[in-house]
Amino acid sequence: MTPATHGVETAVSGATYWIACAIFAGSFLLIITEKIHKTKVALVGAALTLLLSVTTELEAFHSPHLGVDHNVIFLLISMMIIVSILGKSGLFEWAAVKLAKLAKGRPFPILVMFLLFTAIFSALLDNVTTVLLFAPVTLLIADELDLDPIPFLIGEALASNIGGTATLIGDPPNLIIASRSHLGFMDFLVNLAPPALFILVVMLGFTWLLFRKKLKVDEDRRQHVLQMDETKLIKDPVLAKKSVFVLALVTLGFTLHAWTHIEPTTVALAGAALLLLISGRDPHETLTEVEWPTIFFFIGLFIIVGGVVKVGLVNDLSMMVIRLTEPTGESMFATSMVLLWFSGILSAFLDNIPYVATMAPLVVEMSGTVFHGGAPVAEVPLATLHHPVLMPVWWALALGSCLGGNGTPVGASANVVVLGIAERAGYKISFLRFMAYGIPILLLSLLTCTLYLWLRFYL
Amino acid sequence: MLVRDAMIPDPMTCRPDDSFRELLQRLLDSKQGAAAVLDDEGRLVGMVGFHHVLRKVVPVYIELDAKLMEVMHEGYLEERLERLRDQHVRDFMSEEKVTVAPDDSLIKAAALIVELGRKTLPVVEGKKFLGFTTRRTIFEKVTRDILQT
Repeated sequence: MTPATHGVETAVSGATYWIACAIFAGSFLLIITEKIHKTKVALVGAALTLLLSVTTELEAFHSPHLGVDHNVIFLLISMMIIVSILGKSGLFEWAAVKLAKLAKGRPFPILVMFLLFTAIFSALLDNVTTVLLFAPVTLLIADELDLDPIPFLIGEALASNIGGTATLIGDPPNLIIASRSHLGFMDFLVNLAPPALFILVVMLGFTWLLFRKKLKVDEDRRQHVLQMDETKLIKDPVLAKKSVFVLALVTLGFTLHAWTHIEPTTVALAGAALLLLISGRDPHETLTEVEWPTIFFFIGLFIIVGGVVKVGLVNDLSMMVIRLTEPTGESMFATSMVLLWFSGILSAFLDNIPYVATMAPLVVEMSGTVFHGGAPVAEVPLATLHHPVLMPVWWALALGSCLGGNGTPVGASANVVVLGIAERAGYKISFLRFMAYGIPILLLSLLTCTLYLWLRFYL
Repeated sequence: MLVRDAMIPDPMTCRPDDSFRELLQRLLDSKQGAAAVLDDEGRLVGMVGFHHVLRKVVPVYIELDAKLMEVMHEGYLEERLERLRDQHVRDFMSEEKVTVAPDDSLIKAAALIVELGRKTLPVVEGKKFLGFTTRRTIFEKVTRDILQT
């Protein structure tokens, strides 16, 4: 393992290499075992990276290759602002009740609609917030229909992860991949939405098989739902309309990226600013609801990973991947398949964000080596990052790390949140019970993606 | 003035094993909204009252999202209470961590009532339950002068 100069400002000594590795390994271990809150770990790791001169301040704060990627940070913050205001309007609850009424209070159609709805919103907004907004109203509907809410809640957690896979902004791993690869919103949509949609349909079928007998409701209970007046749920109709308007604008902005060349972060920031302005809400109050621990976790993580990119650890790891899977300029079949399954299974048990934060630059390093005989991360050209032979590798990473989250309760934050709410409502879902749904869905997902990647890129 | 000067004359008490129906009947017959739950040695183990019953009936998802109360169906409260008919005091009671001593000042009791948003505070000596001081008893004691002049 040799330290590399790596085209950076300061040369890297042998000691710095091992310091960076130690910080990296230590941080990851602590984050994974959850003994200390991950934000604290990330910030301490970042502080050490700077204190021990692994990276300089210039690199940590101003270089997206070696430090904080502010595109990701501001995109996250902006979407959190939009969602916070949107969530207050009562729109989600209104929509959920309206859907339940459309389904005439019949349990299985309601389940299908709720899962579809969760998936679609998770594609646009972050998964955890989507589940947080849907879980209470799901509990209400289940309560009024005298149904077990567990199939609904678990289904929503799984659907949110599947939906989040479909777009650039749907799930943090995709955000990180986009920032490293400079792939666009439509690239993600066109390549990831098809398998995500297919997996969602498969999941609905699976749910139907498992629950069609369990989901039966009396006529009079259905009346409870049919008689609900959903308009009462919108406390501020004007705010609701404004929020929907901005969300639609922002979504449009994302999809037109290929033509306007306006980056998703800019679109999101503009949307957040507009909504803050026209909503008349106090910035202090709205900004309090931004998930700052998550934001600082990202900041710290970027700096830590920047450190190991700089000292060359990521390059060394990419060499191992190259030796193992032998990607060439003509085909990276083994690499993409291995990455898909490895990412999927790992993400079921570990936090996918630190994993992808490390793997994305690794893929960049790998492409630099395969196509250019070794080039520093900062200098791999766009054409290489978007090379047709490399594309399935990006998608394998995205699909595996996003869908892997469905495997176990700890695989994705949305799962943790749903289980927490279920327990609070008096419905304890055991680890194994969740896995009884999650593992089959995960395996189905990975098989689907394998087939998809093979058919689309290798046939 | 001290807490011992502003206590209700015959505080309601009950046992953890008393039935829900017994409790309801006694609460409705008395003018008090809450009762002290005592063990065999007369020590305070908790409190129970109308508020505790309502807390059990109102679902968790309302805490998570208060807007949802607008669409719950009309008979909800009656139906849920019906389901609780075979339960006991211990299924509703809350542990009482906040208490006052007989020699505490009334301002302390008043401050606790305001801060915690409560109506009634248990008065204990060590663990032994002595009675209740309430918003009413405090007012009765301290506003006598205001009302007389």
